[in-house]
Amino acid sequence: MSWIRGRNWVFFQLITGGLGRSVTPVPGEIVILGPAINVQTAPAQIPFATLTAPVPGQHFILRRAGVAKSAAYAWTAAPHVSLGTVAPWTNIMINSNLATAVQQGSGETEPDLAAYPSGTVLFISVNIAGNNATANARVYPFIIGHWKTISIC
Amino acid sequence: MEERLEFNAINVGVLGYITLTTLTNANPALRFVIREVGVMKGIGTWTVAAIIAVGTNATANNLLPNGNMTTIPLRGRNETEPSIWAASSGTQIRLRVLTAGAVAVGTPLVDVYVLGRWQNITAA
Repeated sequence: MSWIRGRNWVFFQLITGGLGRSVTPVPGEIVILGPAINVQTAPAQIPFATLTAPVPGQHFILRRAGVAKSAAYAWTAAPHVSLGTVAPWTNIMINSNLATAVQQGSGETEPDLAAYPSGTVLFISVNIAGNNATANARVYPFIIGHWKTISIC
Repeated sequence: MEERLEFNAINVGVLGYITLTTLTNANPALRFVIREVGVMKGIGTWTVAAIIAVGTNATANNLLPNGNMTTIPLRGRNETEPSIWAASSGTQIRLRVLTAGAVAVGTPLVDVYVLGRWQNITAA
């Protein structure tokens, strides 16, 4: 089994929608998986990625984002989280109840696209703390999109 | 193989229909299964928000229904679930401008992308 930044292939396919469908990644498609984020303290805003353009002047067209809960233990308190680049940290994903159900997260995509310049820092905002049976409550934010040189009007 | 078709610098300052592409495959049995369409505004100071649609049907709105692009910079619109469409070779993808957009300086341009793949769909 191959591993991607500490998560296995099944996890990766689950959050990107590829499991069981043999989807070949779109050329240039990028999945940015954040590190494990502890959500036992709220309120808190934690940076999880900094966008870096492969070509100067390009913007990251952010098409989809979400947060997956760690799967190993029973959750006893549902974390509420959002994703964003500026206060109130909701411009990528609105405040979302991740529930206590196992292996369930939250994703948001439509209807808006957003383009972010290189250097943009992405934050996860923990708005209500979560917890689990081992007091090791962690979540994994992710975004999906592609780099593009946007036309100049 | 999944493909992203891109159509750049489309002028949305004039009302009407614009043909983005004609889907073409040498194998007539294949259909292009479209699972997402998105439109990003060009970089500029938008003074009038364009309202646009994208589609393969007569009114060009089955892939992305009439969407207000707003004047907010670096924002666009996309459409994914719940519908996907299987378009045969020869199908045109068109963009329709329902309300013309405007920018303070220059031409109101948008960039369009289409995500999908050629697939041999099982016959019923």
